[in-house]
Amino acid sequence: MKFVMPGDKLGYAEEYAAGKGVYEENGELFASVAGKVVMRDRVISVEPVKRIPEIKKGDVVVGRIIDLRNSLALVEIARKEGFDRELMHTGLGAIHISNVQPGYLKDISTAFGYRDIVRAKVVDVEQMKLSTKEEGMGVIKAICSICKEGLVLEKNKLVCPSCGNVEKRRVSPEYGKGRW
Amino acid sequence: MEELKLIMDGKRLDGRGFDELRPIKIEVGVLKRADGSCYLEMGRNKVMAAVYGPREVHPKHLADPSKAIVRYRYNMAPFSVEERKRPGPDRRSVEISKVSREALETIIMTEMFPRSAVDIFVEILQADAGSRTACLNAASVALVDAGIPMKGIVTSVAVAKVDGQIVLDPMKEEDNYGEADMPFAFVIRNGKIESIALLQMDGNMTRDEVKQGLELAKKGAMEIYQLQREAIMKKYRTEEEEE
Repeated sequence: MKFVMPGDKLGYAEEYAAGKGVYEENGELFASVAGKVVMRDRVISVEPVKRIPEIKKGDVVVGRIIDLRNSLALVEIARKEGFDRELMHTGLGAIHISNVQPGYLKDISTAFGYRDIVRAKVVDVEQMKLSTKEEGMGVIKAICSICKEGLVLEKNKLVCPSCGNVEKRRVSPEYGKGRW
Repeated sequence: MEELKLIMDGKRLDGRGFDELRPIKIEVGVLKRADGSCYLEMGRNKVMAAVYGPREVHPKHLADPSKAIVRYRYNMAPFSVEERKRPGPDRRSVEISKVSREALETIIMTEMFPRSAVDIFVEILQADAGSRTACLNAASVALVDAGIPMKGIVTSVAVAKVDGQIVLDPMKEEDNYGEADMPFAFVIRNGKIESIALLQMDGNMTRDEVKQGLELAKKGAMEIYQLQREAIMKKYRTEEEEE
């Protein structure tokens, strides 16, 4: 496959439709990023050397709980999963109590705690609604509400290693496996 | 005082011909935490460029709802010149930052990223005339490394008038004691020079000298462009082979 750089001519607008990483000017197609040329269904695009994260519906994001309301948990979104690159717009996301876990949840503070790191799926991009209902989503790092020590997962229970306090969370199977 | 001869027997002080560039070394992706980076040596110039973004704009009022803003910082390290330079931006570096930013703004596709910022930082570790051109070349490669969509690649080179002769890519002695110097930046697309993105001049040149200088600069820019391409290729080709 051909490797191109920004400005390299790829063909004419009559030949292909311009896909990602390609732009059209005066009927000609040029690459806008460096990468490999991909042609599929008459659409020509360039698979870039480095991608810029963009949040779409269904994406998994990682963030920190910064506030707990009656029926909402507010999340400061840090990264899109799989990217080690800052997001273009780092807004707040919200997890509604109905989107926390598959079943009914009475009190949101039994699923999340302040400063927890969560893995969540994007349900609505416009309003940045998140959900941890899905498989694999939930808290991946939590701290003890009493002594702020990192909680450890022991037989499906989150235990504080210094004071022995046991806390309840919507725990993700990825708990403690994050890269810090 | 005896006058310094900058040209002897058709050769320059460092043995180069009139149309020869200084040796160039380009390394891509040298900074781990930057989205894109480049280290470049152009003769005795040593510069490091880092690109971040598109990312959130701070302070917020600078954000443009229709496109991304580009910020460029040209900064000389205090130890980059013979006499210690006072740290921080001064009149000269603010001006260079402005014109260089405007050169890159013409090729970066800012409309694709509204309300965000592309930050470019270029640090001069060692200076030896034509540092703004070295910085632009490094910044341009760093932008490609960051995967930021661009219409082409910016390549920059300077020409100077030394002892009445137009020479390519002046070094410090020629810059200091020459009659004039003129940095250029070109937008290169599809292997051809498309437009001039930056042009400055210090000193006086005749109309014919400017024309001659432009031709010389174009030739030099094409050589640098090939080196820029090779540097990017080298980085990503080896990565592919590792996979």
